[in-house]
Amino acid sequence: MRVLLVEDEPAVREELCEFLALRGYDVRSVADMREAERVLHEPWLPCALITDFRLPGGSGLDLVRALRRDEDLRVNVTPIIMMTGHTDLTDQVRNALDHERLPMLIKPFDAVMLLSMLGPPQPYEPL
Amino acid sequence: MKALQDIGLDPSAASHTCTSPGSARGWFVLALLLGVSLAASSLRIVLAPGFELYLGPFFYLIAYRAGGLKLALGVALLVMVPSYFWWGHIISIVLAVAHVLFIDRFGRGHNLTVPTLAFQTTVGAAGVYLFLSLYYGAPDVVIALNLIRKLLNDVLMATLADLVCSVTGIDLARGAIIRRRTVHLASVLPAAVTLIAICSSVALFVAEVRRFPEDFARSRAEVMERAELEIRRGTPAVGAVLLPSAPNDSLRLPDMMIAPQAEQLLRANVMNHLGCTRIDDGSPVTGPNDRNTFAFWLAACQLGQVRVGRQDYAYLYATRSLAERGYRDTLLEMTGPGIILILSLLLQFLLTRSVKHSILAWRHVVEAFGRPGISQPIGPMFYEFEGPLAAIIDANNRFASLVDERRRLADATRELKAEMDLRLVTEIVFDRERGVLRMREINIDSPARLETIAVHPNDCLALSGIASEDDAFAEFRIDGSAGDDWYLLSVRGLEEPGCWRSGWIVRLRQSKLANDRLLQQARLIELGGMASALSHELKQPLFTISLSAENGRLLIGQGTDAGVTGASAKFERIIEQVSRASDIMARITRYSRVEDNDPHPVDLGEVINTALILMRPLMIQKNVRARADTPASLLVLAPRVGIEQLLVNAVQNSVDAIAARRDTENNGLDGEILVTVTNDDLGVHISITDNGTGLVEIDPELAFGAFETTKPAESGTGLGLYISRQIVMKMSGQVRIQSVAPPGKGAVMTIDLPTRIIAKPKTIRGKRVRGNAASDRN
Repeated sequence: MRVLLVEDEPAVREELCEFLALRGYDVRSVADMREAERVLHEPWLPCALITDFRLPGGSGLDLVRALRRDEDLRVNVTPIIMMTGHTDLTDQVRNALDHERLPMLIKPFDAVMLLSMLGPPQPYEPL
Repeated sequence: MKALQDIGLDPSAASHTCTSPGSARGWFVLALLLGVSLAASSLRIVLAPGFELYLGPFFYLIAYRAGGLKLALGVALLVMVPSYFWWGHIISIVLAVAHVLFIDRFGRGHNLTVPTLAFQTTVGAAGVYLFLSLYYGAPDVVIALNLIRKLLNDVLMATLADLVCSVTGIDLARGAIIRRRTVHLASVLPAAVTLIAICSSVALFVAEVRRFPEDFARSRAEVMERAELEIRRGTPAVGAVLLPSAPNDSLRLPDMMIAPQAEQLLRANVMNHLGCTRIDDGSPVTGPNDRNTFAFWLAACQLGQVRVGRQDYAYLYATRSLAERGYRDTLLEMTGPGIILILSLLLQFLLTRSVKHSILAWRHVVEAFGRPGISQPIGPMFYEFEGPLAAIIDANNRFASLVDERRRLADATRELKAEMDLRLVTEIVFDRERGVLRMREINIDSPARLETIAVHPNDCLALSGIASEDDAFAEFRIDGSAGDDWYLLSVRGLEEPGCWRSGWIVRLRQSKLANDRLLQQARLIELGGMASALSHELKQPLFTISLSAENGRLLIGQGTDAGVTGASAKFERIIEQVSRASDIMARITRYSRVEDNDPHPVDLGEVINTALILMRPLMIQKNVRARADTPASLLVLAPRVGIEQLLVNAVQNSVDAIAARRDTENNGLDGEILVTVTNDDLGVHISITDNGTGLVEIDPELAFGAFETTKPAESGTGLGLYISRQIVMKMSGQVRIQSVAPPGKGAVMTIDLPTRIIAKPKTIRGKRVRGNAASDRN
């Protein structure tokens, strides 16, 4: 499974990336929204998106909305998981996330939960 | 009667003007009055033989009141002179002089009537009795009548004199007769009552006495008729004495001598026998003791003639007994008027006494006014006096208790002033531009005093805040005062903005420690405000640690060398993250201690950097970049924590302003904060510039108000700038905020600290710059 990870904090990004890679996911990680959009429009096309809510250059929510406006991406990039620090969650944000039907993980969380939300790294056995 | 004199109830004092002629005009008036007196006194108002009224006493009593003893004596002598011509003796003159002397000696404090009455009933009576009985040998009844006559006359004159003196006065100095402005009740009332009594007595007396001449003449005529009858009936012998008729005869005949010729009767022995000294034959009599006097009739013998048949007879009898009888009858008739007179005098006495007593009581109460607890005086008083007197007493007692209450209130206020430094003030004006309070302090004991208080700049805002309130409180400190005493101002009665009619100021007590605690609490509150950012800051290393641990476990589980190496790197990561977390904890702990705020040598650049590091999580969270342009190694004498707190607060506000601007403009703005430090002769200047919304208030000063905030409730207490200003003031510095000039947007906070610069920044190459270890570490 191809997973795009968007996280600005370097230590977290690296560890999270390694976490998923060690478990067999094809992970690419970027640090900001611009990079994320670039990757999204590459042929590599991720199947899942894990993004932090708070990003330089814009919020993770904006990324998701932009993504969902693209028909192609909308269909292909699922699941989408939002990571957030508790303090980012105003009522407004919470409502927006609910509205977009985005699952949230509040940092720090047990990374193992990511695994169940993403699904197995090799969903399709090549025939 | 001293008491009466003291309170002006002395009628003699009332009417006693006692002047002497002081000018030519005065002498003229005096001479005129004397002439009038003499003329009037020469009139004889004859009511009956021996019953005359004369006006002499009126004039010499008036003279006594007008001119004193000497004048009175002179006038007495003058006006009584005619009496010598009437009666042929000087006793009246003597008695008049005695009368004046008596009044002068005993009559002080009374009107003229009472002493006159006293005199006439004592000395006067004695004199008259002695004179009449010795000189004239008058019978008692005649003496009695004379006494009565003299009494009535003199008392009447005295009463008239009293009335006249109480209404007018003779000012001999100016030579004028003046009308008195005020009339004394105590002199007029008794005089009026006495006058009425005397006049009625006199009237009754006169009525009786008027009949006397007729009665007397009739009785003489009757005697003569009877005499003629007797003579006719029995032809008496010559020289016969007609005996008085039988006892049952109503008209008792006096002894009578009969002779054929009148000349025979006109002999000394006959007259001696009959007891008379002169003959009344019907011819006119002039000189003293004429037919108008009782002396005449007591000493006279009446001569008559009668013809019986063809014989002429003359008869002679003494009129004395007739006169005596007539006088006796008259005297008896006088009992009625006498009683009336006595009763009226008694009434007058009682009335006067009650009037005087009422007035005395009134005077006593009025004089005691102001003292508490006056009671109604006892004694005879008129009803009309009682009511108002009771009202005055009641009002007085209420007034006295009010005075007492006022005194107690003044005492209580004085105590409060001493205890609490309470000041009662009026006309309170807060001059916002100069930061002073002007007022007028009320003092119980002294006139109001103008006061001016310079208000601590931090607290001017509090006073501005209540400038439009009609009934408000404000706490403030005095600018420049050594202590940290807080004062509470209460105002009431708004007249204009910042001007109040009345209020009070009281000193509150507050210790320095409380102030420091306040600062610490503010810091704690700010820390709470940073809690979200801090929490995030700590969560990040924790998250990293947990991920590293997971990864490490997986790597070790691989059982390969690469796995072990990889795991080892994870441990490294963990250690590094723990260290980072520890740093954060250390910073927070140090910040939240109660630091003493005394100045120490501080590297300004290092402090600023530390503060920025402290705020980094927040800035990251809010997408704000901060830059510090500080000289290396600028050592100043300042409280470290205070400066840190200033920076923290400034950055906090800037971040919030930037976030707010971002929200309103909705443009993903990149926040920028710039901290610069410059120094000159005056001290150091720190400025913090941001590109947030700028100042939204019209008045930058309002931003420094306690609890003034435009931020939503969860993100700020509004204390930050207030505390900041406090800190700066404590360093004797200044802080201000301005908006960035257009077209730019944002705010600049400038902090001016007149601190002592210990070490100037040096940029000498190769040389180790002086500074503390902290700056080296940076």
